[in-house]
Amino acid sequence: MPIIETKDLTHVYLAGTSYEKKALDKVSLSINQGEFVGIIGGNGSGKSTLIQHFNGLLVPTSGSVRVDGKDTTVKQYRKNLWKKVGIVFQFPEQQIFKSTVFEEVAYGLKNMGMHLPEIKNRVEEILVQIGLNPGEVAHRSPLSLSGGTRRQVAIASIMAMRPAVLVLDEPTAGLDSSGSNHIMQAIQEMQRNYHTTVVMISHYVSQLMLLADKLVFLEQGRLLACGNQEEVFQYITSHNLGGLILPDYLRLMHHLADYGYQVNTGVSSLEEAAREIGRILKESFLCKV
Amino acid sequence: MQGMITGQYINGDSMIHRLDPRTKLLGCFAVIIAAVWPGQQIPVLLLNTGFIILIIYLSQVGVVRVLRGLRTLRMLFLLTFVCQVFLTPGDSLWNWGGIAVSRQGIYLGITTFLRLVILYIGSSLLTMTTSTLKLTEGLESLLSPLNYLRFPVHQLAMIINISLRFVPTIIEEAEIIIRAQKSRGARFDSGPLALRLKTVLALLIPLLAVSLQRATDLALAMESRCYTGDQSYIREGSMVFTWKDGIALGILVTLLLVPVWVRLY
Repeated sequence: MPIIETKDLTHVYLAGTSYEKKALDKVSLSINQGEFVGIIGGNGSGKSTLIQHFNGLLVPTSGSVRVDGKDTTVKQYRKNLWKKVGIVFQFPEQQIFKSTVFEEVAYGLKNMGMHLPEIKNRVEEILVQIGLNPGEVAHRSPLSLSGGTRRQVAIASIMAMRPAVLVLDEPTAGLDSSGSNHIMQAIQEMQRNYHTTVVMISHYVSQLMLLADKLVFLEQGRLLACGNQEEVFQYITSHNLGGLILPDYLRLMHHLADYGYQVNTGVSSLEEAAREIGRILKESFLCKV
Repeated sequence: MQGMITGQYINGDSMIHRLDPRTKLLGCFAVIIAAVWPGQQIPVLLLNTGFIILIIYLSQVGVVRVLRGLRTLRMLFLLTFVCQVFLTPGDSLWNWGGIAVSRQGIYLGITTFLRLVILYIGSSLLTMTTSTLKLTEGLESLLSPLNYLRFPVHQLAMIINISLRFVPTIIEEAEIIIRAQKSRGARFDSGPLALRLKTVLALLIPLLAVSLQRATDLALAMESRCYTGDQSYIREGSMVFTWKDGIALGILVTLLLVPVWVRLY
């Protein structure tokens, strides 16, 4: 059974006013337990609106969203959905408000009604997992940390709750590679250890390519492609859509395929692409001879 | 943004939108003065209310929407009405053991209600048909005589302009922070009062931090584009006071003065 399932999900902001805007248009998709799903699409394509339906922050204007089999329009269910689906918003470091890192990470756990000894364990564990030294940072003020570390703390505060579904909206945007590596590793580790379902929005398609089991491509609120990476990339290049979001070498491979060359479009790195191109060149040279 | 605030500027090209902002500012000011003037009679207040509703209709921003916006103030209306009715001494109409309702009280209750309605829809009309830029431009122009008294009119206008400009941004930001904290189980709309007050901190602290950061950034960005606080820049498209503005102000003043004249003679 899929853990998240949307059916003809449509969301209209400010309905009935002159600022009315349709952010999502009949989006139907399903996400299975334990999957890593990447959501890609340009600015204003409805990605952020979509994920806010997953923990009941938004309810559909029409259509339905089911989480773990239950409809999110039921208020009583929606109220406690945050324990099951954790959302990390864009630039989560801006939402920090407690005076120490420990309290910040413990905030969600306290709201879950956990006891202090357990909270301590969880906080320590998650800080280590996300690449920080608990003894060093736990009692410092978050404001005294660098932007990247603050981001790690904010993400840890959601991950500490061990939600069944972890949703992240561009968790690594604007971070240096060491910060973003720590975060990505922690996410993977959590997925492995707790069979967590991960939904991640990212502009770095190359990052998603390594991890995602499934990709979802949105444009102007519509779900245009959904499936494994090759299918989605094939769709994007053949329709000349959102070309910029794909790595250059991948676009090249798809274009070569469009011209009739027998290339492998499933390459996942620049080196592999180079090898493929070398192979084609060799073959076409041999043909001529 | 989830909801829309009544009073938010609505883009349009009606004849009210096209009026000079100074006309609208003066008009709004006159309406407010008339509404709070002591001893106004119910028919006069009703006439003024009707007049403003007519202008809202002409401005095409949606009469129903503005009137629906009044609902947000219903508690205020109820409270003032009840206070006026029960606390005004005069010829008592009913009397239940010490709690008396007087004729004057009811009259005062109704006039106060109408006055509040006029204040609300009058000022909403102004802000719904005038962009903040035009509004501050008009304000700066109207206040410009104060320059002779060395009053920093331009800076005041800039402050007002920037604050109005950032209201929607801050509301949007607040909504995002609320959602983020809700995702960690913060309860803004249920639970005991003490807990809810504590939860408000989870919104206020990050919001304040973000706003201060933005203020610093904005100041730097303005400075690096050579803003010095002098009135040394050129505006795009200046205001023109046309015959239409004259007519609009004429109609308004006549309407506000007729009742005075009627009462005098």
